Amino acid sequence: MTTLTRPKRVLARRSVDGQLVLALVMIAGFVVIAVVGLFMQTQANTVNVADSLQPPSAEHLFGTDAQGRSVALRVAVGSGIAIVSATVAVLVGGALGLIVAIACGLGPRWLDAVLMRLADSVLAFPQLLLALAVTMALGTGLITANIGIIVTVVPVFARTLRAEALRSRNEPFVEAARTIGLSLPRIAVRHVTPYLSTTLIVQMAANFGNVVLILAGLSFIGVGAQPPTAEWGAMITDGLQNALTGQWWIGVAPGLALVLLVIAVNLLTDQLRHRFGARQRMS
Amino acid sequence: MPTYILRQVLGVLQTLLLSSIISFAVLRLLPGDPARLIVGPLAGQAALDAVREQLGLNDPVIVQYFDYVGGFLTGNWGYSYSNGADVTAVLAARLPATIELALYAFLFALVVAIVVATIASYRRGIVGALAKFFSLIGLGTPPFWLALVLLLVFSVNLKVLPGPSGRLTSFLQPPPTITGLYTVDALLSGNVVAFSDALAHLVLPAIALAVIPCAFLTRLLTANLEDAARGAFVTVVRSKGVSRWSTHTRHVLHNALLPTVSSSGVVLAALITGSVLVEEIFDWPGVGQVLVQGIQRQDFAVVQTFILLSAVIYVLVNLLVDVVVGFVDPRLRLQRAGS
Amino acid sequence: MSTLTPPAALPAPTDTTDSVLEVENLHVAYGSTQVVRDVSFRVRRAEKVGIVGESGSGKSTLALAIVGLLASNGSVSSGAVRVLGRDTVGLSDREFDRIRGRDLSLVFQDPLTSLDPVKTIGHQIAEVLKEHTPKISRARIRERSIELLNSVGVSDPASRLNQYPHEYSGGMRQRVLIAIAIANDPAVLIADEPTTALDVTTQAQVLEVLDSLVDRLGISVVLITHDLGVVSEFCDRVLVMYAGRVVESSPAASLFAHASHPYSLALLDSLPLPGRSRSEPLAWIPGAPPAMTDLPTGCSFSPRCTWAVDACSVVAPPKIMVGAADDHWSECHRAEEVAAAAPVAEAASAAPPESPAPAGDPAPPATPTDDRTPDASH
Repeated sequence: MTTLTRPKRVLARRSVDGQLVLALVMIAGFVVIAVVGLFMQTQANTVNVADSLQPPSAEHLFGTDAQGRSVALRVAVGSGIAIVSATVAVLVGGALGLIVAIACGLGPRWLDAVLMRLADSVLAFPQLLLALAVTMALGTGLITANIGIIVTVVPVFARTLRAEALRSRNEPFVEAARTIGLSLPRIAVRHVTPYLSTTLIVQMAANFGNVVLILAGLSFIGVGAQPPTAEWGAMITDGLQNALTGQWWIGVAPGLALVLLVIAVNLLTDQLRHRFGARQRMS
Repeated sequence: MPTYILRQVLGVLQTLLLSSIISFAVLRLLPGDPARLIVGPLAGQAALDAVREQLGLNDPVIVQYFDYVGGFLTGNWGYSYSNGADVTAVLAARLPATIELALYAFLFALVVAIVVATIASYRRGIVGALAKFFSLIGLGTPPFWLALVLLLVFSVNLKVLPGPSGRLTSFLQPPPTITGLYTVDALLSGNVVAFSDALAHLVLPAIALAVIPCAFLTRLLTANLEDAARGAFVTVVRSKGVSRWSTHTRHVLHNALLPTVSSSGVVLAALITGSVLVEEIFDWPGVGQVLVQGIQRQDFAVVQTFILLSAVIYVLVNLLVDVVVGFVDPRLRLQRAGS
Repeated sequence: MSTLTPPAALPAPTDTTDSVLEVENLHVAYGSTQVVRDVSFRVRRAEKVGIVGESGSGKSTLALAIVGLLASNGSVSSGAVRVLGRDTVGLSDREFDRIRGRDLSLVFQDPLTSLDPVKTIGHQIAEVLKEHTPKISRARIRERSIELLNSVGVSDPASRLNQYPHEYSGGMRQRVLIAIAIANDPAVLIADEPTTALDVTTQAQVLEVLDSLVDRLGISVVLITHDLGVVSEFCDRVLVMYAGRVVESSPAASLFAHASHPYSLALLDSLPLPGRSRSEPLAWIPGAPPAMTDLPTGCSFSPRCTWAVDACSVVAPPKIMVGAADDHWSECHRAEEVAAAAPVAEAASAAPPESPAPAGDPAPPATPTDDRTPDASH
């Protein structure tokens, strides 16, 4: 009986490691595909009517769309767009959120109250809809969509990081830095930011998948990337038009890639949380 | 107790005030001229000025803001930039379709989440791992893509469910309006054909809409169940001779459900967002479809109203849930009495 | 040196037919770590047995093993637990469920978390009644619940049935837990630190309620505690546990007069007794209990023991009968010497050092070996 429980535990730990490896391998795969895609954007947009609507084959892994473009190639380009956009959104949003959080943590109490109420007000809007409104106001496109997304993720970062920033206020090193009279910006950069860094990293990973989904959603509705850009959401819109006549691959392939990327990143997030012992927080 | 609710309400009012400012700011202060959108790129300066005057765009920003909020509060949500329709009337006419769809999606998500999470937290091992995998996939699946896949499988290939054709097959008469929900109205008027047809039309969009809320609820509930199962009271209940399964369903689940209900706001937001993404695909005549059509026509009046409205609903539902859970959950009653 | 193999059965067999609970050579493990090692004892009808030990001595695990509610990574690796003559170790969950709450019940450690926070007290009492009497009527449940709350001293029971646990104080919650435990007149009640989380006055009240009830109903009690004081007031017999083993078993009176294991003696020394002057510092036991994953060879207590001789760290001591009572034994090579030194009331003369300093230890000829002393200090 005793011997039965022991291998089980070992197995559990190993499967956790396995998940981390799986997530990293998947992400690495996507990065490679993305790099290839970004270098082949022209080919991916080359119209070849003679080849249109070919089903998946050895030559075209995911077939071709109505304009005869290789869906596989366009999915690769889409990986690049998704990864670059989401990385930018998460980095910029995370940085802005970090600034807000530090202002809350080190600044006066009223500033904290005002900023958090403001964050709550932004969070009251469903993320996709607020991103959509901002994007529309700025004019549709991939870059404006990214700006819209950043607006919606800043308060998410700010809220989680603020709790940590407030805690850092009571940490001996911050107190000491204040006592010896270091300037606030210096304390913020030298002491508080490193204190928040693990939470920031976990939060970046946690928001990455969501950002990918929102961007695809915006493009799907028509305010994000515009045709002929090979963005996943836009490709799914395209695929819908052919779905009812039986050309399933045009829309299925980009969605499948999207699901796999988001799963990989979320798997990584779970593992990061596990490792850093960050409290599980759903947003 | 009243002070607790009062404090909540005050907080909500502050949030709503700021939300309306945000919404107004996005509408008026960002580049882009609504008057130009209305008159079109080719219209002359005179027409543009006339529309600007009519919309009050020449007034000071503060006045414009109060006009905007006043209009919103009095249910006067303006007119569609593209076809002049009364936005309030358009949204009101389409709301029942969205409510019906969201309701079925929510029920589906809730039932599946409770069943999956309960079993997963009862039997860890393979079943638990499968449930975690399921919610991992669910959280990463865009509803519009799932809609496409579902249509391909069940409508195009298996031909067991209708394709994108709205709420009813076109030759059927909608049942007389009582609640506005076709399935309910059909049942109330004894129209079995309309009921089954309406239900068949609901299945695919409801599942597509349910996937993210369902995955979210499954994940949250599983975590809450695992938390609750560690409580000392579980051992005591077992010591009474109650079986592990009964302990799990009667005590652990009850303890885990209440904190799960508190996050209804997230589920609601996912349903609102999902209806925007899914309705157009199924030609579902709801508010989400109006929004998407409004976007395609650059119709700010519709878009802004919808977005502010969804924020207001979100905040109010959260307030309601807080208050209700506060009453229902004895643990929170204690905390409140203490605070 | 006496025989090295411990006797298979208890040295002083009692009348088997009279015992309601028998634990025989019980071993419990979490994963590969043995937490309870070779524990045997019997509880006769209406007898109150105390199990005493520091936290981590395996006593709570023993309690959970007896009621069959070990955490999922814990299991009984060998031995038997007989409730009313029926071995429960191999029982299926379903079969065990019929015994729990009827023949065997549990009062759990922390009253604050031991009741389901979202169910009413009435519901939680009714549950144990319904579980074992499926056809019981609602009126009967209510009647019996009120009767039970009355018997444990909850005032105005009829209206308090509809309240939630948080509306009860800690002491009242523990009374409710006792009411639940005695609801079906069980043969044995396992009480795991039932009063630890309560303040001293409430402790005394709760113990009094428990005491009078079990006496009236003829319930046998296994009281698990770290508090020898509680045991002295409450129990007929005492088992002292150390590192998962019972190191001494004795009638309560006999233990206080003739503790014959250095660990028991040390526990007694750390007890503020009426006979002892206040200025006299309470003794404490140097070192910490060993990790169950890394037990010392020989006697597990030897690294901390001021009586230890070289043999102690090599050979595990057998059970040695001590004193006049025929059911007092100790697992110590020097049991007789320790017993002779024991009388605590007149501790001054022959007792082992009051002060913890292992070196200042003139009376017994024990010289703790140098390599063991640092071991004890962490």
